[in-house]
Amino acid sequence: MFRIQHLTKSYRIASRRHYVFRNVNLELPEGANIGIIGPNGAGKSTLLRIMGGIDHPDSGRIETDHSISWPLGLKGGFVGHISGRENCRMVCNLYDLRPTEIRSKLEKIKELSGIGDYFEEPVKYYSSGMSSRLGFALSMAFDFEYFLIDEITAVGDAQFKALAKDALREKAKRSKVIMVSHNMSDIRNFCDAGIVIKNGRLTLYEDLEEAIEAYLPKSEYDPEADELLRHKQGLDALRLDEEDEETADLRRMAANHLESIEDKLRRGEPQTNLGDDEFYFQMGRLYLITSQPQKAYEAFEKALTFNQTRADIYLQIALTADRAGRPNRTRQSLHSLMRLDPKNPRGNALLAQRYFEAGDMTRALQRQLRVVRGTPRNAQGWFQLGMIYNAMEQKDDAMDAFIKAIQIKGDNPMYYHQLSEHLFSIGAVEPALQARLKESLHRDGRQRQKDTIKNILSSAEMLDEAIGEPLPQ
Amino acid sequence: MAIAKQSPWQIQKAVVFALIVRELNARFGRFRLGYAWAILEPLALITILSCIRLAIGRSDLAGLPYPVFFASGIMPFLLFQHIVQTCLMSVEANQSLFNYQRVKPSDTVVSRVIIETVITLASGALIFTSMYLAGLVFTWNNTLEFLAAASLCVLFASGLGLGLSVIGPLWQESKKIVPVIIRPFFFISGIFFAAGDIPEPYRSYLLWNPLLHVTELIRSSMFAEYQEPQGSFSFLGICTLVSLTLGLMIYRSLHLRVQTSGNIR
Repeated sequence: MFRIQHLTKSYRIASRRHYVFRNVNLELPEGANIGIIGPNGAGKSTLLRIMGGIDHPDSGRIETDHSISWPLGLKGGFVGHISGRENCRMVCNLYDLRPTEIRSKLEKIKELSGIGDYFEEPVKYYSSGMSSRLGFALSMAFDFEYFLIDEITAVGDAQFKALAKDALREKAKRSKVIMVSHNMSDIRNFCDAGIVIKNGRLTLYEDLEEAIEAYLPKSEYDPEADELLRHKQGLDALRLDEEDEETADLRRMAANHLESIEDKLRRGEPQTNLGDDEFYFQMGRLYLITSQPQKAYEAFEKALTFNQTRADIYLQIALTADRAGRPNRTRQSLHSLMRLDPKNPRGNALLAQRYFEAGDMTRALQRQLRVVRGTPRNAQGWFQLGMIYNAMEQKDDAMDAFIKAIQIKGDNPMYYHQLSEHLFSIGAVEPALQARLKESLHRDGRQRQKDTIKNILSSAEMLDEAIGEPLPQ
Repeated sequence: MAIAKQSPWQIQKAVVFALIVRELNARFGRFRLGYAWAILEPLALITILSCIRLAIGRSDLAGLPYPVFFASGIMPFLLFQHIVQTCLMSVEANQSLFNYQRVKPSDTVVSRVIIETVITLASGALIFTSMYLAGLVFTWNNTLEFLAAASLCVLFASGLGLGLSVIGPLWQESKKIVPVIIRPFFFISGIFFAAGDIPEPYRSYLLWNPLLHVTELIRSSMFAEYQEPQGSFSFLGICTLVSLTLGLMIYRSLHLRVQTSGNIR
């Protein structure tokens, strides 16, 4: 039994009372793993803390006969000036474990946390990642019936995340998880049911997908739009098939470099003077031109773990996450990108494209206008603007935009193509434009692709050299 | 191993034990001075008072050698002062531990009271034994009375400590005010005078101070030589009852607010 009864919780903010929950009643389904989702500040963490008994509501209560873990979150819950080991011993003492049990638990905790000798050092010397890893490992040493987890899977490097997921999955066989996360794929990984918190209301969905659908705004998560995007990527892949000998050679060279780098990586951590984020960023681009979108996506994510402030990394993730089967990640990284750099033209362009494909032309137009205002010499921006006007049936504006694109960059076949289509639709048949389209399609498109590959290839050579011989781990 | 259902008593026992272990770790683990300080602080005060006394030039006070007299006044006063002041900080000092739902503010108070009491008893035993071996003459009087007086001192301080433990985090000024209030009591609690030496009517005024009764009762229960004891068990008992009642009432009404987000910044 796990019941929320008449729960009301408020905060005083600037002398006004702000209600997080108002008389909320809910019975959690027995035996389900539950994901709590909702916008920032909706009270997800507060709910979790109240469930864990370390925060108190204004009125109402949680009724349960299960044992519930402390909420495990980013802040470790450790005393700074004593060692990790002493901290863990203390928590074991809190839960009245026998000394022999404690000894074996401590070794397990040390192993799972992977912080090595730091285990014996005062916690105040830990990085935030280390203390949340220790906090996670510590809680995994106990067998609560419910584990309360607050964004914990957001910390740590890829290796720890994998370990944490294994540990959680192992636990999930006997225990249940109630987790707060912004990462829908984490929620999907662990949960069966969902609670959506919005405007002080809790809504329980026994089917997680329904919860996610209820939470994500329609225009941004549209299965049809995803379908379109995938279709378009299919076309991209087709075009790669018919490339000429020289381009194919370039790709093979890139693949060779990539193999050599991967081989060195397997033997140890990279030793480059590039910086870890730049290294994995370049790796990602290499994977991209060798048509391995899944691996590219992973490399970009890895780059992100080293540096969360680079707009270009978020952009690449947004561009690759879809192909790696993570449409939600695209959305998230786009949001992060826009928060980091609201004027980023490529970010705005991508957003515009997504709105465009989702059929939300007003928002698409808004974004695209920002793109052309930010980078007025970018032909592609004008071209996309034309496409949006076209879809909005504003023929004159569309025509202007296409002509502008052609004025800036006269050799792109697609621009002519669109213009010609457009002219055709208004009755002015221009076969000359059509012909020019076909001609340049074969010439310029390929050349541009080749240039990009050459550019990336040179950085591959640099990577391959810079990485040197790895230090054995 | 699943987390077994435990009674509140078992839980509190485990928590207080864990807190004591952690507190001793923190206080005495990294600085070797930690244990020494428990002796050095009273010893320094005794030395200073004895030097002043020596300068004035009399060898005993109310029938006791003056180092013994000062020691028996300083130890209970320091115990009282330490309990009240550590309780005032106990919630904030243990903030990270309230992440575990088993830990309540009262547990930190109980563990700190136990630690302070044990440390004071241990260092007191050490100090008085060394004084005895150094040749100062005194005779042990009444163990039961001593235990009663010491317990009342601890309980009186605990009542205040319990109330202050929840007032401290909610009202930051209290951390400045409380030490200022306690300081004058050093001078009026009979640490360097015997209540019997004070002429009336001032003696009766001073005897409204429960800490003076603590000092008097501790001295008369420890030393057979002590002349004109003025301490009253019934007065101190009533004060302790009032302190505990008030402390528990304040604690009951405020402890949830301490553990509720949005109240402490």
